[in-house]
Amino acid sequence: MNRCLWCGSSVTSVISVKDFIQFKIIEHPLCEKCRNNLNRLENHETCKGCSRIYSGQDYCPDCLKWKRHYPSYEGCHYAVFEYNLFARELIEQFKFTGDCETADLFKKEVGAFFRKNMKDTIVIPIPLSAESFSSRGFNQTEVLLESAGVDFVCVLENNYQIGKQSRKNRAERMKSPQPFALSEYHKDIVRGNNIILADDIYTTGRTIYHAIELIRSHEPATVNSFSLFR
Amino acid sequence: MNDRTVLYGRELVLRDALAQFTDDVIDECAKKPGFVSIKGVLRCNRCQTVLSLKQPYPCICGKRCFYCRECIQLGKVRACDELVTMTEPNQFSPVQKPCLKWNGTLSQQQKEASIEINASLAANEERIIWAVTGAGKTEMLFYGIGQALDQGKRVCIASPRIDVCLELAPRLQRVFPGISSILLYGGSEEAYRYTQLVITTTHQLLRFNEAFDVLVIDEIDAFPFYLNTALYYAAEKARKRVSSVIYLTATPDKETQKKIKRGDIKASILPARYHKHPLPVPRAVYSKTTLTDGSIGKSAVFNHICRLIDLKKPFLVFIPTISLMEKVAPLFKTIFKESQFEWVHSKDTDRKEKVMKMRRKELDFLLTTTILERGVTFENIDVIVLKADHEVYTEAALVQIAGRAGRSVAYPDGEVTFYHQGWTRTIKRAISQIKYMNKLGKDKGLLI
Ligand SMILES: [Zn+2]
Ligand SMILES: [Zn+2]
Ligand SMILES: [Zn+2]
Ligand SMILES: [Zn+2]
Repeated sequence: MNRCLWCGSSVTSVISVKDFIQFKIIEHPLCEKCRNNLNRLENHETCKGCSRIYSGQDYCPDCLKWKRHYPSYEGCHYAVFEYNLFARELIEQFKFTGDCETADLFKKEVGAFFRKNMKDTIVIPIPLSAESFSSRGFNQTEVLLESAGVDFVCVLENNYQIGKQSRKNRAERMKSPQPFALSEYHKDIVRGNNIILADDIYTTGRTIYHAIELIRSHEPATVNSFSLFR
Repeated sequence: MNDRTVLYGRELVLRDALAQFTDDVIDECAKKPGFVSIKGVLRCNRCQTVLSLKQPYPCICGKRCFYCRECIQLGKVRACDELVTMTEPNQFSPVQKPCLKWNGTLSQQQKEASIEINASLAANEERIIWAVTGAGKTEMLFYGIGQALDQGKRVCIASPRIDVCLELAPRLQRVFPGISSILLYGGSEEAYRYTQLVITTTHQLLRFNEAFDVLVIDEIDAFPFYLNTALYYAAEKARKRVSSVIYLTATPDKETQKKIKRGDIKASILPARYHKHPLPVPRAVYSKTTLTDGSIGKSAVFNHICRLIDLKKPFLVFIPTISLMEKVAPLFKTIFKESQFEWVHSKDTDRKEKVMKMRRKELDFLLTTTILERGVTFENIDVIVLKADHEVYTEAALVQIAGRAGRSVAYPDGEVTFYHQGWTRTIKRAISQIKYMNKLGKDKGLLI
């Protein structure tokens, strides 16, 4: 008997006849109840700029604000699941408790996204600050991509110091200075190529837009961004 | 910081200890690796669980390491970690003897059990206390615990359920006012400190190492079977090599019942409730209604509920799953329009308030999942179990559920009915366990 990777209750897999004939029985690591707690954004009307659940207009007020800030930027942000309470619990377990295997819960969805939409695109994960990295020992975004079998290159440096991002309030985060740098050695990777930046969560967009700004200064063909949760 | 007493009988991950203690303190600690390989199988050295990860992950040490998922909520144990501990010295400030400040009285069977417990504690042996729901098991531990504390022993009381710990801690602190004590559970705000008396969830036992002279484990039957080995390991690790363990249960599983009957473990059996009335014996009734369609209106269940509503007798209705509850509750809303009732389950944030409403007799009845199987008591209620043949109802669960009825001296009776679609071995065993205890109580002359 298999147990749900999250809540431990037993998983009874639903097998369709087609799956059975094709020997394609892939057990989902989550039980049905936990799976239902994850809210897929593709089932909703979302903002064209940042993928948050939003209807009425193409772009949400936050994205309109970013557009004023970066008028020539034409990329957009993709995300898979809504950052709801359950997602917050999962991220807590993953990042702060340090349970890297949590990444396994999303490998199917993350893998499918990159294989389907991001051919010929270089995936660059957003790096952690040195402080967070040394206390955690891993970058959750890299672990996510690796579990999903997505190739990526780590070319960004994060020189951010003092205080932790998650403890800051929104206003403080918005005016924070550019924390990222691209090493001289790696500049050629960006020039003329399609780039997608990857992170675990998109909250204010500040972090991702800093990274976008930096990448764009090195003349890529296109830049977009991705996060597991929005 | 650097207070070495918090290391006494505790087990910490070296990396975490280094942040709190100076090198000379760390040097005094005994150390062991975070993981051990036994016959090629890697096990976590804190919880002894076999490694479940398929691959190692990037680690704080710069390499890739395995870690233990099982006990990660207590802090991550990585393959490159070491665990440290300091020997328990029983360094407590002397107390005015006797430390027990309690002037309640024990019933005849409680008195006998209390004497047996004292003897087991003195002899550093194990004992199981099989006490029916409502026998008053906490009180009969008072003298034994008091005597151990007077002798400078370190005592721990562990329960799998936070609710029980939260209720137990203030009671014990009241009767042992001069004794240092702490309540430990996941998410507690209180920082750990070295105390003579420890009240804890069983999970937190894994953080101790040969710490306790006396270890009391409550509700050993509340564990699903697959967790049992982990519990016994945690207990073995937390107790001293020479120590006494008292197991408490209202509903021992089949294996434990066998052990008791064979005399493999010393046991005190308390078959009678404090009020000396027998346990209500459940009636098993076949009912083929699915509960979710029109057939319920013609069923025995429906008639039964109508009768209780007419009699104004409050009752609990147990429903095996949340999903069934979510179908049954709205249906009940339409057929029992005139009645006041609520439904509760484990995910319900208003649970406490709804239970209070039932206690205050503001409801005619309450629908519940097994969440109210233990601990909660209501005065003068009947109990109805729907789909009693469902797999969530273990023998222990059914006995506990039946034990909700007839708790108070004023209303020692209460009807318990198991509606089922198939007479299962579990139902049969639960009923015969209840009958066995009543017979024992009668034979011993403990019942009125
Ligand atoms: Zn689950
Ligand atoms: Zn947007
Ligand atoms: Zn472990
Ligand atoms: Zn390591």
